[in-house]
Amino acid sequence: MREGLELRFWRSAPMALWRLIGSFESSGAEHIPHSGAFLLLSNHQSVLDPFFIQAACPRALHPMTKSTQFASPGMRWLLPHFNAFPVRRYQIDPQAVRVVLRRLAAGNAVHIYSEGERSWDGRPQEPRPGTVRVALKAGVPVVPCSISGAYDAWPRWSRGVRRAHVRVTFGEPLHFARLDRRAEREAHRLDATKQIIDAIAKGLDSA
Amino acid sequence: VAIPDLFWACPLCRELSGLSRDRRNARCSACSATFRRSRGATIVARSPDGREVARQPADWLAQLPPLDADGPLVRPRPPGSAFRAHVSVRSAHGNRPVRWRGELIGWTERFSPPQVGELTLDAERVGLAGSWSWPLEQVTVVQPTSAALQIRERGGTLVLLRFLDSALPLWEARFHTALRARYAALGIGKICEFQPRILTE
Repeated sequence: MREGLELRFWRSAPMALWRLIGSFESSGAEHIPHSGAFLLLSNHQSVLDPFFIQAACPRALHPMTKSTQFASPGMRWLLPHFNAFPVRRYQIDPQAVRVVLRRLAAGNAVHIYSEGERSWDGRPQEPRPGTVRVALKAGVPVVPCSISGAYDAWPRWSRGVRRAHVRVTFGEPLHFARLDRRAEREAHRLDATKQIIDAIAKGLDSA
Repeated sequence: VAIPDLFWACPLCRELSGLSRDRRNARCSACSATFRRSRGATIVARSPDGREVARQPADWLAQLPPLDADGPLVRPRPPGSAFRAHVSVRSAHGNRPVRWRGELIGWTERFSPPQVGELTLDAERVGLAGSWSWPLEQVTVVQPTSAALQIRERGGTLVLLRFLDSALPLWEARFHTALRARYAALGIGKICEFQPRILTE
């Protein structure tokens, strides 16, 4: 799907529906690179997060999505139209890593929920080690993204959507050197993890 | 999903198996308190005398019995006195490629229809009554997904466990603690990661 058409869809249809019951604001779009590859790492509060984050982001995102979402034929057809690609979270999934690197190499923006799952209580969680390893392997700018309020709209333990004020904040890009050797990535992983945690927390604090 | 997927015990009386689903709400069979979602993610508890208390989920969770590794809710039990839960189980039998414009972009699972049974977890094994039983050291991952837990046997099947009368965070903690203890007992090492596969330091 062409980027313009896709962005128009994400900005218009889901947000028009959302504005019937809630409010939405975003900040920090100036931190999104105008061109070239980057990795967007965000916290994860709700199944609604992809709609809000893409609506706030001026570039089309390629979201890494859990493989079970692709189980039905309808979703298998629909999700790739919005650049989503599956990841099997119960094993090392080399195909998912290949797709991330391939899409970055093509100059795209890949979105990964760094925590790997939605928060049960709305509070941010630690990034998964695998996400940080991918960031260090890719060596592209990492844009931290903080979403708040989506938990109030639709928390993990509930089936219903409620009125809420949702805010998406993009932080200044973090720059990690590309590390091709596994030992190097492991040596830098904890420091990179801390930087990502701090950057996402900063965005939540400003909300 | 509903409030009993979040709370592993009643936040008011702290009874472990007290909460049950009452449509989208929860009711404690021990103290008769009810819990419902209110504004945003706020949860309102109504005690039998009619008093209502509204708190955020994180505040309610802080009231629950802790999931300490040494505590009675989580500490691994010897064979014969296993933790038990009523579960709905789906097994993955193979993967299906996901393609987009001719490009392989990943894989998704082919799941069996759900099967209801009793899950048992003790200090040595996890199993589904009358179906399968794995030594804990053969489990390669403990991965929560939505309201279910994915576990996988080494070189074998992925199963998706949906807890019908218990909360996922409680069972995730039980799996983590049992696996850590089993790895230590067998001298395999100290587990540092549970996803996407179990890794030791």
